[in-house]
Amino acid sequence: MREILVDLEKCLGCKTCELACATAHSKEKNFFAAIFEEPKPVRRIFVEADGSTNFPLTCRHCEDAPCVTACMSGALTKDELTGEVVLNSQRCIGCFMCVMVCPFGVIVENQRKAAKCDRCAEIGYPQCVLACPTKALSFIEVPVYAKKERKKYLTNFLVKE
Amino acid sequence: MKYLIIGNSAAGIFAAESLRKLDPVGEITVLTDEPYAVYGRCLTSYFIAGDISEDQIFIRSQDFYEKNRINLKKQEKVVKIDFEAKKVFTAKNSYSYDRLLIASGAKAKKLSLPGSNLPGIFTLRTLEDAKNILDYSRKAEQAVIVGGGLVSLKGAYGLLKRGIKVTIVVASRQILSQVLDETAAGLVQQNLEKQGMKFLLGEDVLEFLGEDKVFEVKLTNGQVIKADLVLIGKGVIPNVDFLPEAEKFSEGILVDHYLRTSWENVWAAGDVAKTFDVAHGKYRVNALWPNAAEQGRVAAINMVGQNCVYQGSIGMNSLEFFGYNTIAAGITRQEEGYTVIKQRQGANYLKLVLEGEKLKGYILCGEVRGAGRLTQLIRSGSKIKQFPSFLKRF
Repeated sequence: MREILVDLEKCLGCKTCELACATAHSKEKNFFAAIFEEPKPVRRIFVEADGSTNFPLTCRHCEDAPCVTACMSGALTKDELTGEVVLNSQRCIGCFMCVMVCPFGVIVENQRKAAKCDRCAEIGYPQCVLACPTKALSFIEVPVYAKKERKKYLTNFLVKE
Repeated sequence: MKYLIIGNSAAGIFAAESLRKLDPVGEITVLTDEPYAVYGRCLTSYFIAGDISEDQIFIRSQDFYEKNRINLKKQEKVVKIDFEAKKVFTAKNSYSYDRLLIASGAKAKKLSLPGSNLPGIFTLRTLEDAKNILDYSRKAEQAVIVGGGLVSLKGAYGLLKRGIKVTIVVASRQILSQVLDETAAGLVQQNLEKQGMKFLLGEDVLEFLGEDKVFEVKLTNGQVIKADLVLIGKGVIPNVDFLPEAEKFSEGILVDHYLRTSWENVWAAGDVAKTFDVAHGKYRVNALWPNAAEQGRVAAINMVGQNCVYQGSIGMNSLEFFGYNTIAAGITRQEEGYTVIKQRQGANYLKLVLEGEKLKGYILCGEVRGAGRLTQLIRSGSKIKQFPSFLKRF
């Protein structure tokens, strides 16, 4: 299963991912058209800053997702095969219980319903990852990412020596 | 292994689902006194309002029970449990168990006032209630809602959307007195008044007048108001009638950190369970959907024999009326002995209640983004060193 992963060292906090996200969830899927759309397209990724560290935060698709347990309308479910937390907007009634319990604060309101990262299901590939100019975001399998990180660590270690 | 679950709502269903995941071969039976498959109890007011259809109220697919091999026994009201013989008795049958989960929920409190048995007086708890209210409302013009809690307001919303004039009679000086402080309650009330709801605060009902059905309501100040339909929302009481010495459990069944009851091989979860409240630091019933569902999940893990500590419940509510959102959790009203931060900007209101550096409760009105992060701060008990940056909009 692929995840949207973040390399904190590379994130400059430019918020390009936020723009790409909102655009990807707009009607026209085009930045210049999207900015004039009403209601305004809503982003589902948020770059948080803590001093010098920036962190683009989006749905983590939690194992025991609190939003899934809190959802009283059956709109949020955990796909056992893909591990994804899926939001069915047709079923959502906008009670925002999910907003109340999401520990990452990444579920937002969009036209009186909940909205969250769907890994750009409509387009087929997370647009934030594509848009990231420094490649701080990647959409890969966790073991592959871990291998890359290990290699990087070792290289740095050897270089320092 | 034979698992038996009393109750087919949030706690019961999340437990059954988790049990099936953890134990592919165990026998799972769910008992319900209702004639329905699992539905969202909190959706009933949306159903009255006409916001959702009847099929949308059922929150699992039609093949849910079959697919998960869960035996659902409908219209089986539990009357007695023999803890020695490990048997649960309903009016018609008996069911034996190895592991039992009591997730029997709660029922709406009724009023015992003159005339309170007249037709046209309802409580709102079940889908049956909602259907009855909806049927009856077709010939009603004016409704009186007794109580200013969440169920009352949601019921009032449903009726208002059906074109019925609603007056809400609230004994306290504010609405939602269990959930919000005066400022937040005022904001919610203003918004509801704008939509046409009427409120009578600091008033209570003395008696219901009418002959073959309710016609008027007499208040403590002597005022008599017309009421074709009355909805009573005075809170809930746990369903414990089937327990030995039931009166001992009138405030819920006390459970430990593993959601075990004092009986062997018996767990309890949901609106019937008295669990540890993280914000208040004591045991109480937090009869809310998210708590119930999570308790069901945790109870299931313990029922299969893996020890999982329940992290505790929190009183938390999210309400949305006509596009105006409010989320509140933990300690929200009590201010003495706490550090309180209040910020207001138009219709947006923020209140943080801190004990030392630890967050114990919050209210967010209007813009509610990031509320879950505050809920998590209450849960984790982490120290807050500075004002959370995501709240800087205030």
